Amino acid sequence: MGIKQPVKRQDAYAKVTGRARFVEDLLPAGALVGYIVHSTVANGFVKSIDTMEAEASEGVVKILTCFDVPHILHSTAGHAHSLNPEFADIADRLMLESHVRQYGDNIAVIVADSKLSAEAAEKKLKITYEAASPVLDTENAVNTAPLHGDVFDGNAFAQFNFTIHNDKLTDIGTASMKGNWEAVQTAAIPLGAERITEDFELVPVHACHIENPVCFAYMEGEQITVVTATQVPHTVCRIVANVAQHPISKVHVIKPYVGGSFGNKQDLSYEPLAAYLTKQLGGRCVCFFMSREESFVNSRTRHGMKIHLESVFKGMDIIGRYAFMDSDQGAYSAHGHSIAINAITDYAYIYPSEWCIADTRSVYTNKPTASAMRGYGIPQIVFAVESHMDDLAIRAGVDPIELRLKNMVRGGYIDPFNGNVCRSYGLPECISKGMELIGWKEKRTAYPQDNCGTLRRGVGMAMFIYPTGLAPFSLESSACRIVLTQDGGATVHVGATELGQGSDTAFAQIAAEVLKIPQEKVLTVARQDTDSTPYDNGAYASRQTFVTGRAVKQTAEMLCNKILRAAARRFGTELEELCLTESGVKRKDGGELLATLSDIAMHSLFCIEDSEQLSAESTACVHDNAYSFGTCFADIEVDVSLGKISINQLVLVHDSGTIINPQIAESQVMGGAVMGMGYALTEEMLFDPETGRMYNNNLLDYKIPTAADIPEIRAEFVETYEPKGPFGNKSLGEPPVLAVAPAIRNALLHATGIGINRLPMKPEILIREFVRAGLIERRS
Amino acid sequence: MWDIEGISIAPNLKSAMESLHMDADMRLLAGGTDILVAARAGKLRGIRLLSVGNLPELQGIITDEEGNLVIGAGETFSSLIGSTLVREKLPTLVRAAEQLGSVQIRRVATIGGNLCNGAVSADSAAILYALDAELLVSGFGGERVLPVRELHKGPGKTSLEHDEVLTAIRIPKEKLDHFGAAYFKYGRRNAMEIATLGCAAAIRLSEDGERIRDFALAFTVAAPTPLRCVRTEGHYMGEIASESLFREIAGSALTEIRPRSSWRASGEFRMQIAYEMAFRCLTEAAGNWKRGCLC
Amino acid sequence: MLKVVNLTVNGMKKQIAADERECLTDVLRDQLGLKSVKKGCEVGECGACAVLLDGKTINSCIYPAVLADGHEIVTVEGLNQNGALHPVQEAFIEYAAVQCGFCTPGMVLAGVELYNSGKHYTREEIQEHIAGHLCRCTGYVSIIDAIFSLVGKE
Repeated sequence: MGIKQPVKRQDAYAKVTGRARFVEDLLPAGALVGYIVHSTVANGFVKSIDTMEAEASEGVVKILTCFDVPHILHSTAGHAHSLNPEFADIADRLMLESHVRQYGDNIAVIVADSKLSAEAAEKKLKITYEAASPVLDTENAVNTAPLHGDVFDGNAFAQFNFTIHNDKLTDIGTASMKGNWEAVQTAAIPLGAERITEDFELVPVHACHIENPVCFAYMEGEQITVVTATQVPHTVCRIVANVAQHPISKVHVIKPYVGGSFGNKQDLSYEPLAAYLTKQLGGRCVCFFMSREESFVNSRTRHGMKIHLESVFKGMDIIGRYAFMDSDQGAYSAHGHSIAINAITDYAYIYPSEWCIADTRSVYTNKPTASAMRGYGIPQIVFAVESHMDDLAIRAGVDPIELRLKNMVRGGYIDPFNGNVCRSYGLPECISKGMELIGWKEKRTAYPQDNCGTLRRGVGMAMFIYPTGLAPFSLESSACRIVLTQDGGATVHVGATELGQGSDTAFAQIAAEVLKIPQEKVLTVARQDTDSTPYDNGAYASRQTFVTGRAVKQTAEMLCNKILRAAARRFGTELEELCLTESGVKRKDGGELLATLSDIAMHSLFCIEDSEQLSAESTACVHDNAYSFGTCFADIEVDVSLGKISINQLVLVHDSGTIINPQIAESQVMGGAVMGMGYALTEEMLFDPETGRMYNNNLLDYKIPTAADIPEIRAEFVETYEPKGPFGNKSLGEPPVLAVAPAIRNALLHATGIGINRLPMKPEILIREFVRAGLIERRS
Repeated sequence: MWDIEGISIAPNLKSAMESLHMDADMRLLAGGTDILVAARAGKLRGIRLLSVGNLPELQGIITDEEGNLVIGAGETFSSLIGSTLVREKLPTLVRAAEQLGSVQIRRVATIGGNLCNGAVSADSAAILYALDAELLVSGFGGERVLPVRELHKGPGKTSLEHDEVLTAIRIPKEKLDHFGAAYFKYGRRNAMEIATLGCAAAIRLSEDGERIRDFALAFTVAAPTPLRCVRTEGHYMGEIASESLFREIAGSALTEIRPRSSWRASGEFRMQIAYEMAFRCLTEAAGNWKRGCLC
Repeated sequence: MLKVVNLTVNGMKKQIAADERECLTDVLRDQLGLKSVKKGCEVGECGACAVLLDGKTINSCIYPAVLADGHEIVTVEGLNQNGALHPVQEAFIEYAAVQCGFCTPGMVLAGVELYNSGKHYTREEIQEHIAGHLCRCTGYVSIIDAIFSLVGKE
């Protein structure tokens, strides 16, 4: 019972029996199909759409084009509302666009009785474009016509630059800090120091949750109901109300079971359009079920980035660090620059040096829109930084772990951006445990001795620091309501969403722990409905057990109090004399059982004189952050002649504070490890340079790992106690993906002497580098 | 719902050929793992599919009177993998089958469909090319035997007439009895892969195992159709089998293939791995010959 | 055109009218209410729609409904009709092999197929067997563990 136990997921039964209902399973019979017409150019303008013939096509109910929708610029980012307009998400898109900014942009919608009817009608549309060449990389984009001229003058729409000197933020703004960095070179660097400069490239990748983004909307009276696969139901509600021009009190959003998300469903997809259309169609139900092909192009991606790193070091000491991060935003801003900001602040945290200077920019291009995906910019920077560390170690002639130990962040570290303090710190243990489990010392020495043939082995590692939620920079708010049920159990209502990560079970554990109710009698309501679900920012930033968990804990404590007060009233005693135990309410002295919780609930609810439902509700507003740490160690074998990497073993060691549910936590780490492996080796979104069309938007050509690809994986925890977490816990959802790719990259470096500074490390690139380095002969 | 005219099920082979003969817009449906994907993509508008996968005339895995291995075109890759006869006579084909798609795909995908859709990446093609397999074809006008090496005419194109049905694949006894074989599929993942490149080798050594008496080297995805390295084969017959010779053969094979560059992989990269794959296939095939002519 | 299709679904004989152009997924979901059959790609690349056809997993999204005539279909709804969970379902719960749950029905059926074979399998064989079912949450480890606990051999 309660926390720290391998409690079985509360939704496991519903899911193994196929009874768990996802969005598409709830679609009313006879719903109309919303079918998006996508542009066949990536950059330009729709000049005209002749719908006459298409409208007459069989089964077509309505066609709306980009010329028909209201001009309401909005953002699709699933962030809480910002009372300060300066920090609001960038409103840069419409429901349908005549200004086309990516191949497959949404230019019209056909509402029909079936997808087949809509497809037939689409062929009858006559569309003319004024098209320009697509601009697919940031360097070109900064010099070409602005893609969002009505919002920004240029495509480099945001910068976040800073200078940190001895852990103090000395300069911050949008102007380049490169001058500061050069000044440091001439004035502040000791004699004999060396500079190492490297460039890294990360391509866009996709979350590939198995359930595509799906939603539908209908009206009952004046009320619009939107059923959607989302991480952020309350935010969806707010944006839908705004864009569909409907009072927010008359919009409600239902989030049933969600088939995976990883950040992608923290953005809205077609919910506003579905709501707008149902209004246009007298409340008839309209659904939008993205196909897999659309999901790649029309939902969100992980940002492609180019990262330039420089470090100045002397011996084992890193004296100064400089980063330039060029973030490819794609067509629309979505989460905007916050991803680059998250990444670059993490850059500052991990190896605090005398000087840390960084420039970042986010740039619009004609690619699919990048936004939140597990790790929020940090997988990219961790790949660059951790690769850089191994290269630096070689230059300095030192062991890469020694170098890290010498320069890494320590407990008690004070965040230079916001003063938040690192209060729990298990990084050194994550390193030592990982070293031991992978057999680091032996393999680092032994492997190179046999690495002369085509098969070569190597071990490598990487590490990370990761925040928990968005505080103190942004609002962290979670509300919770807990109701004592008639059988003496509890029902927990939260607005933070279960996506597969296991948060509902963790909340039930926290409530059970506080209320001392047997675990099986505590249930977190799995389906959110914004009409009845307490407010929560939603599921993102690995925040739920930290922020929502606090709301659950404090609400459970309030309910305890109410239960005791009800018992005191009934038994004519003082609240202070009573306590809650696993069997019910007892007297503190003597331990006499006064009543079970069921008794209390029944008597309270059905008391003729003074009926009261025993429930509690509260909001947690969290202002603190907590840093999680972890390492990944990889043992790999490379077939040099074939350019193939096979992974023998991955070891991941995490400090996520106290682990609320060890079994679910381990499963989360395994999943992240494999996602990281895909990022390292096989996953990339490829685009036709001529048209901007994505080549591989299907699950055969976009290669997420299969069960046949996974190595032995070991997940371990170093449990620390985070004083600001409800039970000593801190983030875990995203971190497992962070250090895998650089660990594999560094193992490759160990095995072959070749460092690949680009992901994915695909055979073609390996072969090219092996040939260049003379490891194999050129054959063509 | 697929955007097609419909699907009918052929009651027998004769009727299938008649239907095809009469209907220019009809296409055969075997396992459907490729054609139904094309249907969903809207590429088969107006097409009527004729299901032939389960026709009894297309089933069966047998040794014929001459001792050739005959595999019904409607046999699924699962059946091949499960067939004792194929496992015994042609284990390389089993290994090729095991690398195709996934369990669910192999359960419905047929060897006939794999060949007839004309894909240059067909997992079954390389080894069948290397062993000079023959295709038994029934048409409205009669039956004929087509060497598999004459089937492919370009990506997605075959030399079969519209009203012809591939009924079986015949692998000559002479090859099965005297050759060792190997297949190497290069893919990015260990499952759910279209070959980046495929290579098969079949070798017959002299009695003492010293020299190459006969050999064949075939590639898929190395040209617009699967192909054999005919000139190389002619050049190295009779040479002493050795590691250095196999490397030389692999190098020579590169002069005969012309893999294209696509977003999936560059031609240059395919050439690079082709060399190594040819070398490893030849080595393994020679090893298999020594272990008792394992094809 | 509509065709009459006779099939057995989860032990019950059913007669349905299926459009020739319809895949088995849609018939099972829309006509028979078997919502455990999920759609993840509709082209046989993810395995979310997998069902047992005569005891073997196939991707129902690329299987024409009219070809199911005369066959026996099992979905996860058919595994625990008497109230008790199938051992594979139990193992999935026990080993935390479930996260978002979207690939779960197909994965469970892949396990059931192995379970029903009466044979034992190495981890590699299990991995190969479920490789056509993509899962993005678990990293597969717990799923393999769950199936291995029932049919595994070293």
